[in-house]
Amino acid sequence: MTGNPFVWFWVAMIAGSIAWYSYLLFHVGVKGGFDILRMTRAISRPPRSEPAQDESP
Amino acid sequence: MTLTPIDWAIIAVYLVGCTVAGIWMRRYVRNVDDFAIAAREMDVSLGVASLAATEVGIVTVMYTAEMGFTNGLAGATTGVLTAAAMLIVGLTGFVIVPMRNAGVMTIPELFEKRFGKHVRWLAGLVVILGGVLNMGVFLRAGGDFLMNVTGMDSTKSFTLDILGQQIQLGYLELIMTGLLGIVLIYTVLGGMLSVLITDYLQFLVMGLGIVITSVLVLRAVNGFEMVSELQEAHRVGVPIQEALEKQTKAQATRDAAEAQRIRQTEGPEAAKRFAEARAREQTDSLLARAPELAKHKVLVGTSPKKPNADPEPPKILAMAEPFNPTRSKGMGWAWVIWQAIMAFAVVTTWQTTIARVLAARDSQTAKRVYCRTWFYFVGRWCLPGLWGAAAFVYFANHGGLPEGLGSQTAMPRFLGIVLSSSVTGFLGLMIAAMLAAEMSTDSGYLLTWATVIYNDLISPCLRRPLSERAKLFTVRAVVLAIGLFLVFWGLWYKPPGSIWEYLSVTGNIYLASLFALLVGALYWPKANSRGAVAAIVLGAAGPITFLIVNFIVGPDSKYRIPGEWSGLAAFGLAFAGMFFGSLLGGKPSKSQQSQLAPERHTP
Repeated sequence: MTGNPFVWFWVAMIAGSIAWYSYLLFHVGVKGGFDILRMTRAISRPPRSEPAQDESP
Repeated sequence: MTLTPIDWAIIAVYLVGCTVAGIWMRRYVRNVDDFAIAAREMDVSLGVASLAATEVGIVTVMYTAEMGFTNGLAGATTGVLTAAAMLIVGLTGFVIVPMRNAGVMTIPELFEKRFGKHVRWLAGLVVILGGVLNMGVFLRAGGDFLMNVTGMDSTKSFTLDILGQQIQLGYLELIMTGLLGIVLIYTVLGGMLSVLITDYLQFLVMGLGIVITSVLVLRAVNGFEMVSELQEAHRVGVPIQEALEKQTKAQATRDAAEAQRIRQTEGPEAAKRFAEARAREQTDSLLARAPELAKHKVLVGTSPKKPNADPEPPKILAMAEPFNPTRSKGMGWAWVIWQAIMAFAVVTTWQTTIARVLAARDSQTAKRVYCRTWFYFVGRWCLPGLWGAAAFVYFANHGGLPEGLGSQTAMPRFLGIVLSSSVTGFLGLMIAAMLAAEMSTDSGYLLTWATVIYNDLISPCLRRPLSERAKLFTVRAVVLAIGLFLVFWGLWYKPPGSIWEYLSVTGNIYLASLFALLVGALYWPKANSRGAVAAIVLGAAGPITFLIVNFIVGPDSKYRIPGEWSGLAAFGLAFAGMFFGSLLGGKPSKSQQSQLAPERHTP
């Protein structure tokens, strides 16, 4: 195709990007869902860092 | 390029799903910590999704594609440099580890610990000035994309009669105001918690849309054949472009001399008529030659015709060196070095990126988010850059650019053509993906700048701390105020110049100052408040001065300062300010040094 190393570099970057996006889509798609469940459970717990009197104006 | 019912259904499901999920998170918000930094409960995968979604907006796609259209794949160099900077920072923890360990909510808050309240306030002001102005072009760029990808006229409007007043409303402005309205609803109600959930959904939709679109684009330009097409376009097109520009310049000089003669003999009105007639003739002659020029890989770009406004002169567009950034037009070694420094500044100081570091459970989580997101930044530039370069090849092979299209708007029109001729629903998915990109960026930015305004500009001025309820109300009101500002500044007012020029100038005001300040605060024990103020003032003054100089000398002047030199000088001035200011300012107190002392040993 060409002997220009820049061409091969960009071809590799594009192929890598498409592959990486596809991988991340499924990996983060699954794990991110579990992260959301854990986060919502953690922030639902009653004892929190802020003292109760701060809630009143 | 008409949207089918399936396309509309995909867009509607996405919009409704996102809005409902965002509003749902409101129930978990109890204080400003929940609202601004999600109670620091964000984990790695959610952080990756949020960071990736926030950092890809339609504006990103538009300017990276524009770089691809003018400079081929070399235009994506910034993405590779940013990815490299992200990986290095993720592996070493440079800046992000001490910042997360400091337990602050914003970057300026960190400066108070080291340099005092006045530096925090001043830094907050610079952050807001650079950040909010930077965001100013997001909506219009987004609107331009959506209009062009669907083939709608971006200047189309209708007139409303309200209480006897005729008000003209553009479709572009209305659509984008509506979109911002949805973003505002869930961001105001749920803050960072809503932003994280919607970012997650948007990441999925956007990722799917980007992957499918890239594959279809490669198919449309026959994959590897595009490489030789780009090389050919550069080899054939550039000499013709240069000859045409030379010809146009010589003709303009002759016309100016003739106009001067007419002014002296027949008066200024006749001279003006002559100049206008000549400009029209030149435009018509160039447009008539456009199909012929396209055969020689030169495109003629035009702006959409606006009612009651003079048409802008057409632009002669050729493909610059498409692979080697050191030899590509408008780039070069100085440009690459500037972009490399800017990449480090962006990944360590850009508040919307750092907001994910500060929301992370701990510094190790923050490092992991960076290590897992780094390659995403290559794709963030390479894939839209590929779309832009492919758009050039496509239009060069299909008789030139349609009227009203230029380097910014060619890519969305090209995508519209490619996707509407593929499987039904792909165009809808692409539009949903870009809506996702826009919404996640807008929500992340709105929340970030509102947090800085509350935390670093309003809060230090208060004599007594506000109650949690009042704090929440204030931050929500600030989010809303920024939203309103954006509607008027970014949508109804159009800033002059290209998107990238606008973004780099407004971004540089912030990046140079804050980068020097952060490095000084975290890694140099002798840094003091005088050095900090000098870094802020010089870092911001640099780009503004260069902007003024370039405005005065004009676009074609030989005295015009190139962007790379102004950018490098801004960083140089900011670091010089920090260094010399601190040396002149005396020693910082022991207590100020010790505030961040433990983190200084954790690179």
